[in-house]
Amino acid sequence: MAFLELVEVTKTYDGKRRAVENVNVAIESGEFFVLVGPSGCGKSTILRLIAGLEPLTSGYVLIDGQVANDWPPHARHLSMVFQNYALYPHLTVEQNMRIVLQAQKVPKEEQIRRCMEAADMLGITDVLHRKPRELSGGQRQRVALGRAIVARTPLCLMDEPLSNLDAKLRTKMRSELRRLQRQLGMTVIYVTHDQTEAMTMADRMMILHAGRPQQIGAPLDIYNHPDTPFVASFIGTPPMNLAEAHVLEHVLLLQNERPIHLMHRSLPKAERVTIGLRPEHIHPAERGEGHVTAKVAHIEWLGNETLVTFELTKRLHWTARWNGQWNMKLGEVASFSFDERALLFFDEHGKRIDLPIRGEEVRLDG
Amino acid sequence: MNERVSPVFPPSPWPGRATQAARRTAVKSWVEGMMYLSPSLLLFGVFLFYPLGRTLYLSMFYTDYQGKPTEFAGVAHFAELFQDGAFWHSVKTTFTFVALTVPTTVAISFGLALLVHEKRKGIGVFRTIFASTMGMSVGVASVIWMLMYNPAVGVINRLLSTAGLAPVSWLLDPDTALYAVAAATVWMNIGFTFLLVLAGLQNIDPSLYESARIAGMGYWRQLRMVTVPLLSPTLFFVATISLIQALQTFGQIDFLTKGGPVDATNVFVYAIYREAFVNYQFGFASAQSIVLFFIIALVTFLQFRFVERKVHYQ
Repeated sequence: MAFLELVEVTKTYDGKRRAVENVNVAIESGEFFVLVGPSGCGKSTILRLIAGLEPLTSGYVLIDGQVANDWPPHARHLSMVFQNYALYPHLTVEQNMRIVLQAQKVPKEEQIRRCMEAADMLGITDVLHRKPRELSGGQRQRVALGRAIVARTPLCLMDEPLSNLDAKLRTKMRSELRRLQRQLGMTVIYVTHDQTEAMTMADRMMILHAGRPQQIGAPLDIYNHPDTPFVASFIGTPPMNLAEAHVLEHVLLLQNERPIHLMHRSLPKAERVTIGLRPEHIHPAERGEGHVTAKVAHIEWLGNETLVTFELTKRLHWTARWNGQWNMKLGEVASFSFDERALLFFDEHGKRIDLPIRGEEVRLDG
Repeated sequence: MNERVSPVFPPSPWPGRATQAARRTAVKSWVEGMMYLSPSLLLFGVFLFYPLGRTLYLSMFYTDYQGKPTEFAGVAHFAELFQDGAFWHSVKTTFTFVALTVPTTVAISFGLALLVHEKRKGIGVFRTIFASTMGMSVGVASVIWMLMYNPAVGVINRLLSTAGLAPVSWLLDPDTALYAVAAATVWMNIGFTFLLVLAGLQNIDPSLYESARIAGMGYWRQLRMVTVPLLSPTLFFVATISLIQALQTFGQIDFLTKGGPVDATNVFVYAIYREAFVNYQFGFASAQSIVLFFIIALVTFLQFRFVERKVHYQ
């Protein structure tokens, strides 16, 4: 039996526009589950519905198999880490952590013991008697985590807890959070808009767009087999290259003007498709190989790799990710080849079309 | 802070010149600063500094009925003041009045703000109603209360008689007059203080309450652990301005009781007014004003010294 289950969960604020629509998911005990999507996609709303901070419009929230729709937040035995940390500015770090336990009438010695333990775990023992305003952003973040730890609830909800930290600290905290979660065996539901965070931290994740769940699965599964063009473009940096195409025998006509020949890949029956290709599947053309030529529209040197953007048509730009430092010039015409097997197809309704793959790599020209 | 710092000059072979140049820059910067300040300095000068200086000056003179100083009195007015029973009576009346109005104003505006802060349908109507006394002048408000307190036709006595109670001459009875004026004053002040407290409440981060709900804190515990500490700067501010306002009460006394009956409502400022513009004792009245000035300064200082410790600034 799943630990937490959402069944047909829908939420509307004004009775018309749905902030969250038809969410179904079962989260297992001990899982690190990430809700990810662009801002305004309803991910925080889902978290608040689970916490009981807001009532559902329809559907069910099941905790341990019991319908928990009407349970008040504290009866759900969970803790929550807020984006702004929600620390009480007038209380010290220790009081901030203990206030949770006081409300639950935990004996005083036990309060102090748990508090010290959590502080030790998080490395904030030195600042226990300081007020939040005297702490750095990273320390505040740890105190917020500490509050979740001392509560010892089986479920912890985190609403973009790392988004107020600088990039370096964020990367560090990602792994630290995961380590803590495993160590404590907590179930975590984690909201973020940052797909890198989702990819690196999640056991499983749900991608949301405009209040609707797009896909649920393990990060790499989703990366390799995105169900919709939205998921394809949302997960991965730089995003997957997408293009509308007409299917003509062995040729794909991109945006009605750029033909691409495929050799090793059978094409879908549909007439109009959206194709997707990850930047890492576009390679520099090798001698004697079929390739596409295009103008270089933009180059970014990242040090160990180079992002090259090609202008296939006026409105269609594709980005390639190449290892090493490539000495290219803007406006120069260059050629590339790509891995045909990696090409993804989506039908008119945005569903992925699965096709058998015939052979090896392919020639194409443009 | 962006402080203007005079430039530091390197040691010069002609030390005299360098200091001269530095002095010139300093003077220039001072003049420039004064020009920015001049509009407010002018207004303060005309309406505050000059009257204050003039009052201090007059407090040391005997005056004629036009307020012109006639004879130097030194500290005679002050000496007389401290032996004057009427003076001490007005001091006592004023502090009773403060004790009646300030805590009530703060408590009621806090209560109303808490009610209106709840998210309910149509709550905006109540917000407007509660704040509306702010838009009413002391004169209008006084007339309303005068009518309500009227022993014969006033709504309060009518309610009393429906309840089978004897009518009370609210403003004419020395035992009730101060309470009656205090009640009217609280009502007048509440509009503004209510808005201040509400603004303070709305400034508290809602996630703090959400966090409290998740932790299982009930309404009263949230009020005690979250709302009151975080609102304390606002409450302190409201208490301070209400206090100063109460010490300076004049309008409603003039409208409702004229300091009577039998000096029962003869608060400080009203006593000063009578001394100056009814008895034409401008020198003596000025001395009282000076004493009032120091009393207000002292009380405000004490309030900051002892109450502010319990305030949590963020």
